[in-house]
Amino acid sequence: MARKASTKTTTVNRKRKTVEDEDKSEQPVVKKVAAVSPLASLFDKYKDAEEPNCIGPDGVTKFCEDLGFAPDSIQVLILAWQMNASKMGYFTFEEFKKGFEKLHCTDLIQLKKELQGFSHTIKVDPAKFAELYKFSFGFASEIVNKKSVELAIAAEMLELVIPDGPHTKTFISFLNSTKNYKVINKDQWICFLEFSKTVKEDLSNYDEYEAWPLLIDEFVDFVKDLKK
Amino acid sequence: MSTKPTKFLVKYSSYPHNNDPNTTTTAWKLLEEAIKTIHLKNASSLSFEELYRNAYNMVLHKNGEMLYNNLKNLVNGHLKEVAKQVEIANDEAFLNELNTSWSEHKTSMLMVRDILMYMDRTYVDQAKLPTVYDMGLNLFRDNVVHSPYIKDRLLNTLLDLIQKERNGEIIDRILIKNITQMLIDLGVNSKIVYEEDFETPFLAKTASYYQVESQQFISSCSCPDYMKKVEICLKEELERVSHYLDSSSEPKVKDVTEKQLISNHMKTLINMENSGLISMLQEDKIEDLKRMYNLFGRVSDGLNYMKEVISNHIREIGKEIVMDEEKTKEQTTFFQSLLDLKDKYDRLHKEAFYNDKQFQHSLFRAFEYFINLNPKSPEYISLFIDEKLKKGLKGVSEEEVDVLLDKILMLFRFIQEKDVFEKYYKQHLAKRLLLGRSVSDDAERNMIAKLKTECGYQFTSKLEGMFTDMRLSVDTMAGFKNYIQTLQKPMSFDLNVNVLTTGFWPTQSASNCILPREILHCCEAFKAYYLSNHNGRLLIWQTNMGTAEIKASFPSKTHELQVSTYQMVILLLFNESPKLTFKEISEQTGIPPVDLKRNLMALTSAKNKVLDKETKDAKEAPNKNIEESDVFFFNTKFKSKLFRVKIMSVVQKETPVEATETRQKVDEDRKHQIEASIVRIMKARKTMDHSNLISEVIKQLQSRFVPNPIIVKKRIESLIEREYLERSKQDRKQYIYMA
Repeated sequence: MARKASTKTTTVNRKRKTVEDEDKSEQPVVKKVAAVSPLASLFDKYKDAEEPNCIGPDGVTKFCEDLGFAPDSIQVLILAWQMNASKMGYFTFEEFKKGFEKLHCTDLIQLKKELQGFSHTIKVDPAKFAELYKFSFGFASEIVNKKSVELAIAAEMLELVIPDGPHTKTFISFLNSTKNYKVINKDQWICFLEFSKTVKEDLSNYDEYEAWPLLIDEFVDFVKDLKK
Repeated sequence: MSTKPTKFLVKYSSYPHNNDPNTTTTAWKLLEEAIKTIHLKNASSLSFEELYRNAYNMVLHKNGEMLYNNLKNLVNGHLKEVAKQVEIANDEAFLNELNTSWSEHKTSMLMVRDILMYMDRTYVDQAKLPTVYDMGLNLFRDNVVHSPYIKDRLLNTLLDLIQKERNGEIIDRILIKNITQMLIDLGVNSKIVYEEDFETPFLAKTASYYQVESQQFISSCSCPDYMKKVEICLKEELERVSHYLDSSSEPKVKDVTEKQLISNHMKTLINMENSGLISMLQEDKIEDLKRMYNLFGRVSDGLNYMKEVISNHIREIGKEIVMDEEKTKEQTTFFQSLLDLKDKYDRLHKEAFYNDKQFQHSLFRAFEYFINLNPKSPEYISLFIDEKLKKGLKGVSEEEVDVLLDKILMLFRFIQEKDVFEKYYKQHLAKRLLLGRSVSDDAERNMIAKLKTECGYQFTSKLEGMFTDMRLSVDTMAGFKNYIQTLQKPMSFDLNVNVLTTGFWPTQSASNCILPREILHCCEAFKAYYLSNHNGRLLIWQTNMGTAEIKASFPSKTHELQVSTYQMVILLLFNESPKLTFKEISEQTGIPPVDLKRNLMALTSAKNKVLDKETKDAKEAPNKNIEESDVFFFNTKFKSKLFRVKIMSVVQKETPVEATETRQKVDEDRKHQIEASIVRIMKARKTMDHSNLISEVIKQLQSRFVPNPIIVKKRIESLIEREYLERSKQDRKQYIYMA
């Protein structure tokens, strides 16, 4: 998987360079034409009819379509992360602008390439990935104080953000079946990433005295029961 | 001494210098004759001065070596003769003969040594040879004691004699003492001859003797008898050592005999059927237990083994008591049997085991183990105290009360869930105080004081608050009475109110009933009075906890009835109407159905039938239980010998629902305590790793209860969620306190 992805992104990178070269000649022209800001006009294209300072779920879906990514793809999550979007399915103009600036993009084509590149970066840079992972918790949280995420949403988010983790599949089925919990909290979320990184798939190096959250202890029991 | 040789030297200078071989030979001849004479015990005819001088001259003229060797040969030859003498002695005279020749040899060697003193000082010293006397010892050892015809015979004779003594015969101890002393002397400066020639075979023999002996004992004796025999044997062996063996043998003899008599048979002895350790414990055989403790204390692991068996035994017995459903139904007897068990083992521990710390520890562990097997133990302890404080202490002196309470407290110490106990104690105390059931206020306070010293201020502060409330209530009532009098509006009855502080008392759902108008009026008056004195407080009536005394006129007689507030409310209804259905009563009083049933049951009980009832299914036999279809009416046929009739409220055991409620309360309390403990620790330490934190929390709380690590972990996670703590970013197992 990883190798395939990397070859893809390298080709993309190469392409991007050529595109950028083309852009350079055109850029000043564009700027002059859209004196307000090209970004604002781009934003206006998708913004919600009722809330002018915000792109709503429909707009986001459209925006994703135009970008060429599914709304539930890792690239869109990365975009949300870069925008530091606070709520799923909504981009405010502030967030929108910040995201483009952060990614040094001015239009959709650039953005698409940048996001493609980023989806590779997180695979090779654990620190960046950890940041994204951490962001995804708050992003998924419907609750105002961002302290917990409902299990069903958490399961979807896990599938998106850490699809090939050694424990992801079993953990999701555990979340779907457990009755002791309704939500997952931030500590449990963060610890699951570390659990995925350090504990082997067969759980042979799991130590119950190692201060894993109880949720994870119970998950381990769940897996062991399954094996029986 | 130092002047003497100088004198000689001076004298010597007048002699002509003489190194003639003839002179030397003559000198030796002279000495040889003299020594032979000494061997023949004729030494009195000799001139010490002359002999000394000749020897001196020989040594001075460098003939020390010759003198030494000649002497050695001479003594050697003599001792060979002596050995022959000893060898031909018959068995009975053998030891005596040996002893005699030994003492003769010693005497003669002392004389020879004196004569040849100069050689000892100069030649022998320089040549690093054994001194004359020691050489004599060596020669005696080699020629006599180690003579092939003597060596084994000597050993066997000695062992035979000792064997005879063991079998009860009387032997010549002084002779043996001399012989063993000889063996020690022959070792020159070590005890090697004694050890090799005698001690080692002796110990082996002792071991095999007692091996056989102990086998015989153990197959024919009970455990106590065996131990008595062992005591005697050990004493005899030690006496033997002190009488005629070297004192260095004592520990070895002790080791060997103890090993054969005790160590090898420990398990058999302890587990001996009908007389082993367990039956001694059962039958309180203090003397035997003491003996066993003393004997087993001599060998390694003996006491440990004993301790283990005792501890297991107590665990078994305790488990039986605690888990026995029949016994636990009767909480008081259940508890009494635990107290008796404790008493018994305390006494054994004191009288038979010399208050051994280790034994005590294992005793405590055993009690702790089985008491906590039954989760109801804390409740039972409280019930037992309740029982005692309610009626059990009548006619008992203060000291005895104190002793009893101390004993209860001893068992209380073993309880792990002290917080559960506290909950129950509070409930029971509340009942005692409010219903005036407590026999002695002093005993109550004494118990609280004891709990306070045991568990600290925090544990009893609420209990003490309950007492304070009671005291303040008395004052308040006195004030209220004065107030009523000033009002000049006499009340139709006396009202007594106990004002209880919320939080001190066990919380009960305030299930209020509808009070009759006149009573309500009186209550309002009190409320007004109380609130005028204590502004801003909230008074809630707890009618479910009150009592009343009412006068009831029956056709036969007027009685005074002591009833609960609920019962009073029910009975007052019958002033208005002669017959009431369950539903009517329920509606008019507002008493919750469960309580109503309970109180009606008390009023219609066979003993005090104040009310009678009609059951719909009249065919059925009269049923104690109250059905919702029942109809009640005043029992005009009520009769009682007593003027005052106490209607016992149906005593009701804690229902399962209440039990789970109590449990939930306890669990809820524990949550807070665990969290408080975690925060306390983390506030002090700032960072701490998971396992240390958990063990620290458990340590802090174990005086009240033993928290489950999983629950502690849950609390930690909850505190992380609420951002009191966070995980260290570098190490998940480290927690950081967030100020």
